[in-house]
Amino acid sequence: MAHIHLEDGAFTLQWISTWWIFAVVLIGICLYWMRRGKGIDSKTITIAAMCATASFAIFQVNIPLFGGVHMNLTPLIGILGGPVVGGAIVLIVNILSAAIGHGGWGMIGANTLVNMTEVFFAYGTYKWLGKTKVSAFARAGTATLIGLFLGNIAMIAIILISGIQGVTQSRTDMLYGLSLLAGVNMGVAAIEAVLTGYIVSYIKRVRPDMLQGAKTLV
Amino acid sequence: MSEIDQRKGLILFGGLVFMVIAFSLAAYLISGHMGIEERFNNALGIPAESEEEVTSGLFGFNIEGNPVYYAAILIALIIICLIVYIKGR
Repeated sequence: MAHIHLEDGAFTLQWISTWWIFAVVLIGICLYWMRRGKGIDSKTITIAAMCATASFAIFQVNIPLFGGVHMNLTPLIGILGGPVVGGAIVLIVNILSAAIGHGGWGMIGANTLVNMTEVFFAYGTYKWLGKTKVSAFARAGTATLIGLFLGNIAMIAIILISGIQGVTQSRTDMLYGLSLLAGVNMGVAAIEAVLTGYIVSYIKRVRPDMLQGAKTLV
Repeated sequence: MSEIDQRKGLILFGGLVFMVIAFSLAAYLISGHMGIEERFNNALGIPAESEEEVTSGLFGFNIEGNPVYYAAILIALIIICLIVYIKGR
C-alpha cells in the first residue's frame, strides 16, 4: 500500500543503487532460506502465484478515495505466503508494475524494501497474535494495520534519507508533507485491514491448511 | 477459545480502525483533495506538471500505467496460476 510514487530521476543514482543493493541482498537471503529448508512445495507455489496475481491486479487500480489511493495486499501476502516467499512476490509485483509504467524502474529497489517491511511485520504480528485467543479476523486485521503503518514509516525514511533531486524544500517540510500523505494512506490501510481480516477468516474456515504454508519455510 | 476473548479482540481491532480512520480524515482535510501523484509532488515540493493526464476509468476507478500491458500481464499471470494449480493438485 505504501509506495514511492516518484518517477525515475527523483533519487540520485547513488541512492537508487543503494536501495537496489539492499533489496537484492534481502531477496537473496529469502531465496537462500527457501533452498536451505525443506524446499518449496507445490501448495506454496500455488499460493504464491495467486498472491502475486491478486496483488498485481489490485495494485494498479487507482481507488477514488481521498483523491486517489492504492491497495496492494502485501500483508495478505505475508500472512499466506510468509516472509520468505512474500519477499520474492513483492519484487515480482514491483517489476511488473514498473513494466506497465506504474512507478520508475529505479524505484523498484526502494519500493521492494517498503513492501517487504509490510510483508515481514504483518506476518510477524499475525504469528505473535497467534499466542493470544484473538479471532483470525482481528489478528489479520491488526497485523495488516501494523504492517502498513510500518511500511509508511519505511517509505518516509527512504525518501528522507535519499533526498529528492532538484527540490529546495527542507527535510522538515518533507517530513510534514510525507506524514500527511502517510496519514491519508492509513485510511486505506483501515479498509485493507478489514478486507484482509475477512479473507483470512474465510480461508481459515474453508481451507485452514492454506494458512500453514508459511510455517514450513520459516 | 473463549468467546469473551474473541469479542475483546474484535473491540480492540474496531477501536484501532476507527482511530486510524479519524487520523486519516484529519490528514486528508489538512492536505486537501488531490490525486496520489499530486499528493506526492506536493509533499516533496516537486513542481507540478503543466497538464495532468486525465483518465476516465469506471466510477472513478482507473488503471495506473498502460491498460493494454496491464491486461496482457494479468492474463499471463492468471494462466500461470491455472497451470500451477492444475499441476499441483
